[in-house]
Amino acid sequence: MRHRSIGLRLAVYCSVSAILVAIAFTIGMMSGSVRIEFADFWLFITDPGKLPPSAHTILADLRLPRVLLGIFTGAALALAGTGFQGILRNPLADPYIVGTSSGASLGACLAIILHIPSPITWLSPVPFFAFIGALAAMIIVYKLAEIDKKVPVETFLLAGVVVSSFAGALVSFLMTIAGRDLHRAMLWLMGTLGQSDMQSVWLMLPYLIIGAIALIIMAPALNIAGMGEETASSLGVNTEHLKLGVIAAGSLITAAAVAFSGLIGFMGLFIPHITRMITGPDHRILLPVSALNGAAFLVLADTCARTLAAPKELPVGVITAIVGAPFFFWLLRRKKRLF
Amino acid sequence: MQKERIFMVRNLRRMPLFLLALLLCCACGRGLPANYFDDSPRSQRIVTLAPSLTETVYDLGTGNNLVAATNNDNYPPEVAKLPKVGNMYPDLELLAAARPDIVLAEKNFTPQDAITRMGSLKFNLLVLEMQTIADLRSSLPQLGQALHAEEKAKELCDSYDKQMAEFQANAQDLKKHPTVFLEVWSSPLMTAGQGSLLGDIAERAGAINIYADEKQAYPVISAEDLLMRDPDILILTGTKPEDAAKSPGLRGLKAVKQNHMLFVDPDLLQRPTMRCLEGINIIQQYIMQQEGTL
Repeated sequence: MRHRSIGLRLAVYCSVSAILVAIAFTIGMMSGSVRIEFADFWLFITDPGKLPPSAHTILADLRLPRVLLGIFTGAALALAGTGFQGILRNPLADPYIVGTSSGASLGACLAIILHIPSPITWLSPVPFFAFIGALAAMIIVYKLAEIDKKVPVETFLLAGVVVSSFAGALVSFLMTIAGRDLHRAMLWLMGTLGQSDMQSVWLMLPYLIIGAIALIIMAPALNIAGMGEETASSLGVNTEHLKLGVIAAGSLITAAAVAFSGLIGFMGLFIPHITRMITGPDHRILLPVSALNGAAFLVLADTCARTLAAPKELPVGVITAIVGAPFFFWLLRRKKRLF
Repeated sequence: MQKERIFMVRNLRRMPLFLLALLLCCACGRGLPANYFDDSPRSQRIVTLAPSLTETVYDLGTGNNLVAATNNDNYPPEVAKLPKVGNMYPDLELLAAARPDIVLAEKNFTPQDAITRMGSLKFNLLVLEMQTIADLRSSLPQLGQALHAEEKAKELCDSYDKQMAEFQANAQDLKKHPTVFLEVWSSPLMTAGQGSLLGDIAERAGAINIYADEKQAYPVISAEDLLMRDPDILILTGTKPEDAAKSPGLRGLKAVKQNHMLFVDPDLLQRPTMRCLEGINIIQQYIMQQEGTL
């Protein structure tokens, strides 16, 4: 495969991963607290009018938005993780490393616990404040890390830790005074796709599209930046501009993802690693294939979250971490270089 | 060495496949069949989302129309056989599959976002406030109308009014209103304050709740403070009287020394249903019996 053109490799990898997404979509639509037979699912796609109303409500109003949000969120987290790992040249980077998660948590907990109303009437307060919090944290981290118009990777990572700890402490404080809202806040913090409706799907899509296009345009430069900042500079890549671009695009899609589904951990870390093992480190292939794999993985994980303990629902973040943590351990023990 | 490396690389390629297979196995073929809910013809398909509402549906004689309830329900016993649709957050897929004609929810028990979502999914939703005994009385006619059981609702209302009038008369006849400590939980020591159902029940029985000044409904209090307030009677719902006599926090109270302790089944005191009237009656009877010795 190594000798074939990039277009062919991209097409092969993408179509395999796209088939995975299609399988995950079908399974996600068919399973849940109520079983839907394939015949009914097929009827839903071909002639939804003939479905019994309760099955139609389940498929169209409950599962479809949830599975679509899973696809978009999974793709977003995998894309952001791939971008951050590439630009920071750090295997431990994940979508939340720039502080978006802690900023979003703080925003969401403020909205849930202090009952702050949303300034936009058609958008509920939790996604609004989570999104604002995520972007604010990202900007603060970037500004903290900036030294002489440059952002060294080390100070950037440290600034991320500082902001995360600070916001984390505020979240803990809010949780102690939460009272009966504690349950909701906990659910959000563990990540769940349960609050999805079609509105959240449509609101998230533009951010994902813009972020994905931006990252894929930057893919060739990311490949060069992977050789080290000095080499990249000598090859005509402005690494500071690239850093800002990747961080902005990655944070934007992460913020949109966490706004609607809370903190879904680990998958943004290990999906890019797994994909890199299969496709190799070329970001032009890695980014789109990661996005598709992330989408398939999150939909399957969410299906498990919905069905394993039905009618109780597990937070999907629990499933991704249970599958992800052993993988992470295995990753740490491995001696093979990843980049 | 070389061999080992090749083996590792192979394992490595399998890892994603393994992960995927694991998830596929977990995700496939799960879920309850669509005919999980009883399909037999009935005049109305009711789903309740709070234990107090479930009890009241049975009290109204419409229990046969109930197709599903929540996991928290345990009374009357036949509710155990009903399919369940989740707890505070109902499982919306199961709720849709139950095909309810009417969904009954309690305003404070089911979170607001769940109520909003159910509304947007076009469920026929009746949201009632059922926190106090007075709420029960004011909800009964509305429930009776919604469940086509107006007659029975009127009967329950009459019975409620009659018993309450009796309780009130008995309470007025008391020469002295005893002070009571309402024990909700022993460790930490938790009682019932303002706006709590238990406090309301005790007051209707003619007692004075020594923690009626607490703003929280179920505050945690200190044993020292309790000793200072030294109530006439201990009403226990979490601890048996013989254990209370041994507890270091309680044994110094005069109520314990004089054995003025009453254990009441907490089931009668924690939900605003017709069973509360029985709880009031038990407490009032005890107070009237002990009146001479207080």
